[in-house]
Order: sequence, then C-alpha cells, then structure tokens
Amino acid sequence: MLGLIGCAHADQREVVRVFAASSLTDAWADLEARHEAAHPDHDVQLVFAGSQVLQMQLSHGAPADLLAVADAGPIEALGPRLGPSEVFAAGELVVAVVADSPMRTARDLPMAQRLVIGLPDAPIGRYTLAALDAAAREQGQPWRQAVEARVVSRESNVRLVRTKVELGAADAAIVYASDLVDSPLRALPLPASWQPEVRFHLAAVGAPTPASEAVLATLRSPQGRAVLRTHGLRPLP
Amino acid sequence: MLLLLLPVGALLVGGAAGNLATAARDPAVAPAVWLTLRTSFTALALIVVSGTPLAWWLATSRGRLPQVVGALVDLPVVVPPAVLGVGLLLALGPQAPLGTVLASAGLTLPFTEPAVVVAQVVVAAPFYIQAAASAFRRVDPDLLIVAHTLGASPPEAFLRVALPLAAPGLVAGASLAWARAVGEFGATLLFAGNLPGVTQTLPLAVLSAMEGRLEVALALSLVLLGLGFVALLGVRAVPGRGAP
Repeated sequence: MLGLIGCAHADQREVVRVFAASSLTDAWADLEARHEAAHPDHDVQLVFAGSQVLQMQLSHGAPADLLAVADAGPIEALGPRLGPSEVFAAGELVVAVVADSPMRTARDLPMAQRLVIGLPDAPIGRYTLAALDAAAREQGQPWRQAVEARVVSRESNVRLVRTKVELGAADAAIVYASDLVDSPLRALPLPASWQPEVRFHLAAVGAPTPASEAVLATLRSPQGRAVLRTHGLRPLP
Repeated sequence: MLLLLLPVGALLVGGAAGNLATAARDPAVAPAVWLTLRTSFTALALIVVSGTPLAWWLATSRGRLPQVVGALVDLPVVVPPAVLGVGLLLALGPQAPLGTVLASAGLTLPFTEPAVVVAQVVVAAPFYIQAAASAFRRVDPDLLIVAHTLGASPPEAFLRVALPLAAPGLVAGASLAWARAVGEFGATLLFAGNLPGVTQTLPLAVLSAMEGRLEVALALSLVLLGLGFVALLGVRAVPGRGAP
C-alpha cells in the first residue's frame, strides 16, 4: 500500500539514479536524504553493488545518471560511456578484527584464524593485494604466505567482507576505514608504507541533467563534504 | 532430515528474538514484496497459458520430436541459474542481435521489470510443464476414446475430460513453478540486475540487506519462508494428487 503511494509521488519527481559502490552505502544514503530535503522535486535512487558489478551492469545498458566507484578500474573500462570523471574522496585500508581478538597491529595478520578479503576483481581486492605486496617487502615472503594461507573467502564487495566477520564466519578482514565507522568491529591501522592510494571516483553516465548536476553540487558543497567526513571518507580536492 | 530443517529453524528462532517490526518497515521491504508477487504471478500466468498446451502435446504425442522437446524443456533445471542469466544477457542484451531488434521497437529488456518475469519464466516453466505432462499421462486414454465416440471434438475432450482429471497435478506443478519463480536469484541478478523498486525481488533484497542490515535480511527471509509455506500448501494439500 505504502509502496504504491510512494510510486505515485515518484512519477512527478525528477529521478537521478546513482550507481554507487557498496563501500559508499552510508555516505550516499546520507547525501540522498540531504539532497531530497533541499530538493523535494528530485528523487535520488541509489543502487549499491561491488564496483565491478556496477561496471558490468552499465556495460549491458543498465540505466544510470551517476557512477561512484572505489577505484579507477570501472571508469577506464567503461570509457566513452561516461562523461569526464573526478576523484571525490580518499580512503584508507584497515584490518577489521572482532572486539576480543588478540591481534593488536596489522603485522599480527598471520595470527588470524580465518581471514576474508575482496575478490581481485573488486577494488577492495586490488587495494588489499597492493597492500600485501608492500607489506611483503618489509615483512618478507614467508609472512605474506602465512597471511594468504589464512584467507578463507574472497567476496565481491567490501560490505560482504565486513559481514562475514560480523557474523562470526571469519575473525579478520581487510576493509576500508569508512566501513568500520558504525560497526562493532575493531580497526587495526596499516603502516603508512603499506597503505595503497585509495581513491573514490565519480562520473556522469550519458548526458548530464539539471537534477544530476544538482546532486553533484550537493556532494561538493560544505555540507556534502561534512557528510563524507562523518562516514570516514576524506573529501577531495 | 535435520540438515534440511536447520536453516528454517535458525531463521524462525532468529525472527522470534529480533526486532522484526522495525526491520519490516525498512524502505527495501515493501517494494521487494510487491515486485516479487507481481512478477511471480505474471510469470506463472505465462507459464500456465503457454505450458499447458505444450504439456498436453508432450503427453499425448508419439515419436522422436516430443522426446527431444521434452529434454529441451528440462534443460533450465540442470543448468545453473547464473549461467541462464548470462545466456539471457547474451541473447537479449542491447548488443545481441535479438536485443537490437527489440531495441529498435523501443524495448530494452535487461534491468527492467519484464526482464525479471523473463528470468522467472525460464527457470520455473520446466517444473510446471513436466508436472503437467506427467498429470496428463495419467489420464486414462480410454476415457478420451469414449469421449470421442460420444461426439466430443479433441479440444472438447481436452477441456472437459482431461483437464479436470489432471487438475490436481496441474495445481501441484503450478505451485512448484511459482515457488521456484519467487525464489529465483542467479538469472535475475545477472539479467535484470538488482535495482531497488524496479528489479530487486525478495531474494535479491536479502543479499543486499546482508551487507549491513542483518535484521532486515532476517525479516525478508521470513517473508520468503512464509511464501514457501503457501506454495507447499498448493503442492501437498490438493486432494487426489498422484492418485490413479
């Protein structure tokens, strides 16, 4: 019943459909609420999935106005389908552990019993491999091999990675710091030398509309930047 | 036996313990419920209307062709749903030959509600068609012969003799096909996408909710469980099912 009433209203509003990486779920839900409060004639529709899943859907013609992903890979792959892209936020990787874990720093990773990371196709997976490569240069290959031996699952997006630990199916994971803002899990920071350059990219899909431009303006406004900071992201530039 | 009951039991226990009332008011729940009901019943209608004549033909024809067609009808059951989704994208996507034909008529299928129906029809139709063909085969051919000698035309014999006798089997098959359509996930995810309000059916909503709103995932799972029980009533409670 309520859904039908909602549909009637949505018909008159201008729709802006945003395809956003799962890591951006809370930040963009907050941006949506603020934007629709300021622009009642706009309907921001959010679709969250792993960045590579969004890329696949767009390459098969899925309808969207804006794309926000966790690294440059999907932007490059989609090429001419997208307008000019920009980096709108930076992030960082952390090791997520259960509250009572004996692990104290990221160097304790081999102590994990069941480690979950992202698929190599997903941005979080790529960042994780880059971080482990950097760690291996410091800690040595046997350390790296010990960590790889602890991996029990690779997930298609970072929120699924986090869920596995929250559900108790794993005891450690490598996620973005922004994923632990509202989570019972503990964050172990990575040494600066291991940290990859985590950058979130935004691009318009197809021709921009006044409504989609307005959403971008909301994102770039001081309030929009404050929203990103609240959710653990560093707005750029 | 215990293994079959464990997931259901855990869901029911979790539901009793959690705060389901708040979870059920999450904006993802109502659209997913309505979309799932709309698409699954549309799919069921398409399956029954086009599948019943096909099942009758499979049951009453002799020779090579019905056997081959019967095997082709069975194919979606043994192919993984994700593979079916890839196949649908390749066959009907905007780059595909058939897809470009549809596009010129203004119809892009992928990532729309009709795409959900298409995915559900593909995975669920075999269950109905095979159950219906099986039910039709159990109709005593002598009864049909008697109907012909009494002056009934073949369509009349079908409608007034075969259909009523096979009805319990058809209802059971339809219930099974509907349950399969409701639970459809892999083909829908790939072909129709996971767009809330447009193509996010209950199973897809459960996956999305699992990424952070576990209580919502539980509420959605219990709705699906309830729909499954309804389907079970259709399969098991119809009198005369399986009886000669």
